[in-house]
Amino acid sequence: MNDSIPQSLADSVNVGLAHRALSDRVQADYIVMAVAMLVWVGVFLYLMRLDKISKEIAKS
Amino acid sequence: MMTKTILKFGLLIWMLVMTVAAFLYAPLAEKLFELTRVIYWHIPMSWITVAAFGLSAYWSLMYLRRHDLVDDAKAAIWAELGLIACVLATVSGSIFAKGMWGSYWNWDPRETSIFLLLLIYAAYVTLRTAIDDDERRASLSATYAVVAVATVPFLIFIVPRIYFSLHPDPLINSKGRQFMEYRMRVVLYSSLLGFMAIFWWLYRIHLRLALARLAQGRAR
Repeated sequence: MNDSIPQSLADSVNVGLAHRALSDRVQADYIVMAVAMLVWVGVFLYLMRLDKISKEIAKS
Repeated sequence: MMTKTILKFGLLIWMLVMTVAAFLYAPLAEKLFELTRVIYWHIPMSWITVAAFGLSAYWSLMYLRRHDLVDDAKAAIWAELGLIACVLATVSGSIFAKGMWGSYWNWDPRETSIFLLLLIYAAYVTLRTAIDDDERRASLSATYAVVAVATVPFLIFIVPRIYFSLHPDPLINSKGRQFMEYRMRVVLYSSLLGFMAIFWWLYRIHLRLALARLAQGRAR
């Protein structure tokens, strides 16, 4: 059997990822990282807002 | 007040640095490739799920002992936060499964057990919303939470180890050894600390609201 032929869908995904050009991989990584960081900033702002509202409710 | 604000912004910076480290500092695991990064979100969520359900059971036991509604509120908050963490662990696990095995859901023993756990704690939340009387709701849900937590070690630690599972060997495995590369462990534990801080913050917000609700109820 030829080892380079993927035997399952998971194998083919891994082979596909490994065969991507380095520049593509780096670019994709930066985009996903930027999205993840934006999500964190969004979660943080939402938590700050919740914190403020809960304090106001507790005071009233 | 100022210290708390600094701590909150510190947490934001911590999570941002952790995210950058997950992409640029930690190496990719063999055969997992880019899916390695899911680990830094999935494992902390799984551990927080177990801890939160454990805390819920602890405060439920405290309620059964002292009959203080504040203990009941704490138990309910931890059960809800545990449920949120459990959903996030399931979703991140499904993303990992899609990349590794080609399908979001495979009814693997670990997937089945986390699904059962979700149902058990969703029933807890439903039970609480179904009863109006505070004391009765607290007693019934405290008893339920104590019984429910007994299933956690069975479903999380025992069942997936009895049957064949596609799930990778857990970080703390049956041999009690860690097989992760040093840099991966640094990012994983940083992520765990950050998530613990976020869940603690959520707990404090929730508790503040629950105490205000209790005070309002007593004033009537």
